[in-house]
Amino acid sequence: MRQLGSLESEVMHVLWAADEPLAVRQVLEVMQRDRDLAYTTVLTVLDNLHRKALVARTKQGRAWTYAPAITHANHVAELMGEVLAETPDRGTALLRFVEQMPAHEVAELRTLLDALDSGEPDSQS
Amino acid sequence: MTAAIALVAFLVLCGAVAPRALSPRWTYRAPALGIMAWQSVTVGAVVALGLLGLVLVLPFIHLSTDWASLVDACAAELRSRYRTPAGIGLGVAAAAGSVLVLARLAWVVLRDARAARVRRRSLHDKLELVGRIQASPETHPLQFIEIEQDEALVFCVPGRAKRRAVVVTSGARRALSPDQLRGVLAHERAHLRSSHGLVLDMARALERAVPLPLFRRAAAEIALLVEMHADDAARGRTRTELARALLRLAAGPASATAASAALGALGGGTGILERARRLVEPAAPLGRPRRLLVQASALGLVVLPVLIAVIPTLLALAFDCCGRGPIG
Repeated sequence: MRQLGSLESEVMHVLWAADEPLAVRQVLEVMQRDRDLAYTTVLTVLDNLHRKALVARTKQGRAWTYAPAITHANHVAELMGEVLAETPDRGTALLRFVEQMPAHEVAELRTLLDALDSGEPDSQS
Repeated sequence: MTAAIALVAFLVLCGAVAPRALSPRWTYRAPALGIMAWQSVTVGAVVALGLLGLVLVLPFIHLSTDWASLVDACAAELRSRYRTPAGIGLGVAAAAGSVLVLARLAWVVLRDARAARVRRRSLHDKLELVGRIQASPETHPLQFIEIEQDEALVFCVPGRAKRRAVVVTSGARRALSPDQLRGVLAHERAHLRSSHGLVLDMARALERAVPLPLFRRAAAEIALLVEMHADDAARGRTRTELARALLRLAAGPASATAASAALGALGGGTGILERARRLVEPAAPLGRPRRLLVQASALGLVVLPVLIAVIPTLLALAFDCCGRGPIG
């Protein structure tokens, strides 16, 4: 399952990088620069993505062409929205390294670290 | 009757003494041990709550006969040892209360586990789609997923082997030096390795299921100790770098989140300063005798309520049915 998952990611990146909807053959062409792939594999992946409403397809002549349904930026925004909306209430879906600190705590932390630096050369910018 | 009183006394002592006994003065020096201590206090208290109901209702239900024949004691003797003056009314009420608490606990655990699983899957799917796996030489062999985002954020998504991930935004990557990034990644990996998601889930489930101050306090302390435990994955010079990373990632734009509000449970602070202080000015680790004392007490706290509940049975075993006194 993981294999297919990362293939979906690669295909999406190909579509995002393109200016226009692409046919299966065109996607295959780009991806074959890095590895060996079958036409049917790419077709399956695009079908899955279409089922998940991640790509839209239109008929151009006799071939289907595919384009991303949502921009890359919007996907990231959706992800960030989910991450920031996490509360500790209903189970732990993720663990953040650190929360936002109130201003007075930031000041105290800065003082603590400055006191440290006064004893050694500061190599960080 | 003594069993019931002893169990209540145990509960009251847990609530009154535990917060003082489990003080930051030593728990911050040994976070893993501190987590275990808080877990054993809360588990012991829940066991005591459950057994309290059983002990009060036992003389009046058929279970007493089954239990008596199981341990080969006189049923009448057994029942009289557990009987309380308050009678069947109190027994039934207490049993109902215990069942309620345990049922609610089970319900909360299952519901939260399912809700979290759904959210984790959604996060993971999105990460797989838009994230880029990074394994830079400066953090070798630590892998992470980078997402293109200005806001400096680092987090991990717990889960089974292939579905867990450490995530760093490009904003965070820019804000941190290689040493700091290494420290932060080690911290997140420690969360995954030590199943901290599960630890937090259990603590919060107990807090929601049992509306007593002890459980709320336990959940808050465990949340902070979990972070300190992960901080300890950084060794030597990386520890001060990790403290700097705390500042760089916590002093960002004020994107107020519900999580940051919830974490201010410890006397109004976020606990971040405590984390930084112990990274920068490490205290001496806990000596062996104290560690052993804590471990023994933790075990004792869970075993004691069971012992209390079983003592009347042991007393009943010493006498036979005709009340002739101790046998042989």
